[in-house]
Amino acid sequence: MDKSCCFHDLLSASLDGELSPSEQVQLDEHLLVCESCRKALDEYRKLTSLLGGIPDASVPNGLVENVLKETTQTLQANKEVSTLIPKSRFAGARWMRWSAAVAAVFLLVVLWNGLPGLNDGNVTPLLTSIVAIAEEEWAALDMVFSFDPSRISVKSVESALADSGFLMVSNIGSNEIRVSMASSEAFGPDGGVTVLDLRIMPMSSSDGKSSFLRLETARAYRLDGRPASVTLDQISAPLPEQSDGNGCSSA
Amino acid sequence: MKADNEYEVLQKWRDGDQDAFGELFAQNATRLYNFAYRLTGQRENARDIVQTAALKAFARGCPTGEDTVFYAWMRRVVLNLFLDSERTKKRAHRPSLLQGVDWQDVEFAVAAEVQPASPRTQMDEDQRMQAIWRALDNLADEYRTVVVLRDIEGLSYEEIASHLSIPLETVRTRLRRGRQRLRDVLQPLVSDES
Repeated sequence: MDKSCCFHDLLSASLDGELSPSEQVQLDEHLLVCESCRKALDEYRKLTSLLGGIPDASVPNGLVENVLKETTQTLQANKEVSTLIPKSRFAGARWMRWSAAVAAVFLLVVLWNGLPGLNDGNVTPLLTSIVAIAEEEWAALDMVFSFDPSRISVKSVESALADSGFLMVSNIGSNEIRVSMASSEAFGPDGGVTVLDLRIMPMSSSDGKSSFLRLETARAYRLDGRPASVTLDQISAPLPEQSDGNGCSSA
Repeated sequence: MKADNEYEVLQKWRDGDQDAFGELFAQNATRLYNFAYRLTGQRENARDIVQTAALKAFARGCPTGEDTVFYAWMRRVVLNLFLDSERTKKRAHRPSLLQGVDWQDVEFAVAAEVQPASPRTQMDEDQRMQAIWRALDNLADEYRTVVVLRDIEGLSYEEIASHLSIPLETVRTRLRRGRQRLRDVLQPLVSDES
């Protein structure tokens, strides 16, 4: 085979009709006199025919089923995550999955919240924490909460994962809060970790033990962009009485 | 899946019927898996890439273009995942394409066909395919990818250039070199003298 023939490099593109008209004319003229190139062109045709005739391998068992299962689970997780604020914080198996540390904090909050006189008379600002419970790694979280502006005002939203490399963007609207947070490193799985701290001012003292935020949407993602299953919950505690100048006490 | 049917299912997905994605994926799984298999040369990698691509595509949601072809759209997701994975790991570290195959037999079968006295019909079709697979697998990634996209997937040079973000001339060069190497290796299969 004479690969040194200067026309040899045109053979591959000529198979695909990708030569310029002038190149094609030159090659056609050359093929009339060059047996080596004619033979090579014929071999390229056979080669492409062979490649095009490679039979399909069968799909591995479970591939389609796994994808269908995971997409169904993602749908289910999205439904779950949109109703994340439980009617009773103490009900259900989710509570049992919380880490001992979070449970201890919660207990402290309940005790604190139950101290006589703390919420009597005066309106007490609250620190509300959003807790994420993840059974798998995640790296980004988008959340939208709504609230009733006649019952509360939201003073601030802070990331509790800044030390873990999470960047956060938040916007407090008249009746909703939008928060996006993301990290370049995967986080979790975790039995319960605080991701957000919000300072909330109830409009009346009677709201002192209520849940104020309603989760409208939430999406969690892994590093590769695939959806992650993350459950969110909220806990609230009255803030100590040190004034921070914004009408809220600091924790 | 017939094109008009696919259009209807895509429209269902676009309208919020999330189950429509599963229907589209199931219909195209074989093609997508084989595309990934030919790119990676490994069943496990192909499976992982297709599975990840499917979930990524699902999370991204239905493409808005009215002329979307599901397979072409998913193929691009698979290709991008493959290119990403190849950027982060050296192909030299991956095991051989067909683990467990007795290559001595294949070598013998290919060599035997060079002998004029040995009729082609004696060559087992499976072994012929293994020889082609092996030749494809031994190509450098940059050559194998364009050969798969052109000679197996039937993409145009322009589409390949767009998918791989490389100039048209580079597509032409890589394809020429890839085919030359395959032709050399598979000479017993493509030559009239066999």
